[in-house]
Amino acid sequence: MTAAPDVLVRFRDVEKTYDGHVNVVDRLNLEIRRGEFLTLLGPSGSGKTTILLMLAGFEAVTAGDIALNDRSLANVPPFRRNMGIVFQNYALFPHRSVFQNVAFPLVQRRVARTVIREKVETALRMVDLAGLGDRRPHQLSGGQQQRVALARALVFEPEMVLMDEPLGALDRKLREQMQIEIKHLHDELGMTVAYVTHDQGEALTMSDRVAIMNDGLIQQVGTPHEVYEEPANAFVAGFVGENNGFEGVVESTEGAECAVRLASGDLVRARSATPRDRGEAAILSLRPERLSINPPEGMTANRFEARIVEVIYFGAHDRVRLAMAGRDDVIARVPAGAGGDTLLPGAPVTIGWSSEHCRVLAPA
Amino acid sequence: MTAPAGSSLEVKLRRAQRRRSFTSFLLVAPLLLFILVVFAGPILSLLYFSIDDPKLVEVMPRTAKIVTAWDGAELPGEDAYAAVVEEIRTGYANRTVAAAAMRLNYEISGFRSMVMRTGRKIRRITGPPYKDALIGLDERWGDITYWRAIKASAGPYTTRYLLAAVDLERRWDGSVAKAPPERTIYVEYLQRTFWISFWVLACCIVIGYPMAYLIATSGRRTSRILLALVLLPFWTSLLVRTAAWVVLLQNKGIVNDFLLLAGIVDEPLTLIFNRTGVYIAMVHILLPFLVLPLYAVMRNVPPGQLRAAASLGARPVAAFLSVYLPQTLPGLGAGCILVFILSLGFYITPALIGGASDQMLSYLIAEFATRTGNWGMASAIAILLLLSVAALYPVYRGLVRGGTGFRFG
Ligand SMILES: Nc1ncnc2c1ncn2[C@@H]1O[C@H](COP(=O)(O)OP(=O)(O)OP(=O)(O)O)[C@@H](O)[C@H]1O
Ligand SMILES: [Mg+2]
Repeated sequence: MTAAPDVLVRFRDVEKTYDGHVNVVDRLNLEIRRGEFLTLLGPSGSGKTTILLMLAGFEAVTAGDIALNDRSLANVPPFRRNMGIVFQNYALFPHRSVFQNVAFPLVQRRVARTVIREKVETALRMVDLAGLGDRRPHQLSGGQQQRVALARALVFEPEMVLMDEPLGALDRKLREQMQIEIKHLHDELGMTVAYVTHDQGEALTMSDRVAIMNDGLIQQVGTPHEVYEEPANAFVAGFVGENNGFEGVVESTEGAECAVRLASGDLVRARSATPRDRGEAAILSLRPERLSINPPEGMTANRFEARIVEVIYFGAHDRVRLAMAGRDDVIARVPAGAGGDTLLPGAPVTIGWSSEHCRVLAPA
Repeated sequence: MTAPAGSSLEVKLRRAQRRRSFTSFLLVAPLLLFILVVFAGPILSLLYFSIDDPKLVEVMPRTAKIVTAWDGAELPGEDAYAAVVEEIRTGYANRTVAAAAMRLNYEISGFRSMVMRTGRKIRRITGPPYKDALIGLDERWGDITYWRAIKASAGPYTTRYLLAAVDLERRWDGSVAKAPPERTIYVEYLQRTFWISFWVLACCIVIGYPMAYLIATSGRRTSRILLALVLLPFWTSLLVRTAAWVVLLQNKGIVNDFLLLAGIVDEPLTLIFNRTGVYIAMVHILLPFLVLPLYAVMRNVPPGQLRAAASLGARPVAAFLSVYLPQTLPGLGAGCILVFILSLGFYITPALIGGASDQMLSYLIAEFATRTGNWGMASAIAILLLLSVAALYPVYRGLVRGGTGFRFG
């Protein structure tokens, strides 16, 4: 296999173990394309930071190889890798001013004084911190410190920027604002970004592609749309976005359509991405927003009787918890006020969804 | 909401602040009292002892008065001789003259026995002219240098001890000059004290810095064990530790036995009663004072600083020098100043482990205070030591301030 010209980083069969017993990263084959924004998404302990540390050169690879521009990184020390890193705790230098922090990578590269001044000022303006160059990091707010870290990682125009949960310490409002700013910077500067987060919303809004990790294994790599709408397995379906999962057995298949018999005896029509055989166990995945309450007659392939257990107010939408098919944790999401005052706990309703939006997945 | 100046709000604030400062004063009052009694008091009395010169003026007040007025150019007149004869006579009778004779001996050795002999024979002088009679008893009474010595001892205050502590002396005409070679030992001792302290400090840094780094960055268990090892010396008294080093460093001691057994040396190294032994023991004793403050500061250096520096293109040495070292300077400064000041005052260890040429200033203090009872000289050297330490304070401030703007918390 020859490398496509746009691949910047290639992980090939990379494994990593800290204790010699458990691989915290296993069989990692991943390509990061030049100029893309790739997010590693996964629960805590799934190995995201470890992957980033191996890429940055701070952790040795146990097996396999990482190549940058088709050249192995095995013998390249961290200070020669030319990657800007934004650490979770920012790791700003407390004894140096903001200006000196941002100038640091340029000083290390022996850039001329006048050029340094110019570049640092540009970088600070870019992250909206012009005029704060004389402050010490501890005199800045969390968001401002984060931006200094960003400016410091970008000022030497690295090929690639690694960010490990850079927004983890910020409050929600600031985080959303910074997400947009980082995304804009990426669009403007066109550098390659490898971004780590365990916040799926962040991953979906910012990324060109998302790699979903669990237990050291990549579960799926795809665009945000793909991983949300076409999850490859039950873990991805459950981790990315809200999901109703139903266990059942495939009863019949008809092209991409299958009928799945649930434990309660109900028969559900759904769509399968990969062909499944009769009699195979399967998991059905249904997004809450695809589930309609009291749909018009004949609109949906699946129709069931259900009872409302509770209605939770979420501002822009309501979450409705329903009892059906022998369980009481089926969630529907309806726009606020859409159901009028008919959505009351205890009320019997009809629910339905199209087979299009219900996916058949292999059990995890 | 704004309130006019001098309003009740302002008054209330001021009252609250006054109350708070009064409370803090009460809280530190015991400390103040303690410091006053055990620190400021002794230092002031030290100062006083170093300039106090009462011996001669107490025993021979009239002589003191006359020689003080005398210009010292030629032998004094008959009245001075008369005063000396009379005061030696009474002083010898009631046995107070010995103290004055002792004081005179500091100026010229042999003066003491001369006064005592004069005292023994003073009965022979029965009347004027006293000058000839006294010179008849001992012709040195006709030598002007002895009279100048009396003038220098006339008190009640003197600068001779303080000057002597820096190898100077005051001539009879009031000028200050270098002391004769047989008395210029103090500056040499001072230099040696600084020299030894400097090398002890250098060794402590070389050994202690990496050690503190290891303790601060390793896991909880390892760091606790290492810290206990560093603190171990604190659990035994200084004297015991020093004595232990004597046993260890002897020619037939454990260290030499080991070196011989391992075939590293062919004959025992001389590790004791020389400078090497002093360095070994002092470094061992003082190491914790460097490691502990360093460790405290290093633990507060945010993790990942070296990684961040490396990711930004700094080679390991550059990363250490520009990122890690500056952040540990406050601890290093505190540790260095502690080690240096403590080693300036070392006494027991050089006294037991060092040879004659390894003694430090404190040895002289002890020598003067306990053996010869010369409290003036002991105090003057102590003040020299005190001033050396005080001179280091600005250095410390410069190191901690100038190096970084690092602040705790
Ligand atoms: N230095 C280390 N020594 C031993 N085990 C480690 C070390 N660092 C990480 N691990 C283990 O490796 C696994 C993956 O850790 P990693 O830090 O990569 O997870 P993560 O996906 O970044 O999690 P989080 O979202 O919580 O940051 C975890 O089980 C962790 O306990
Ligand atoms: Mg992590």
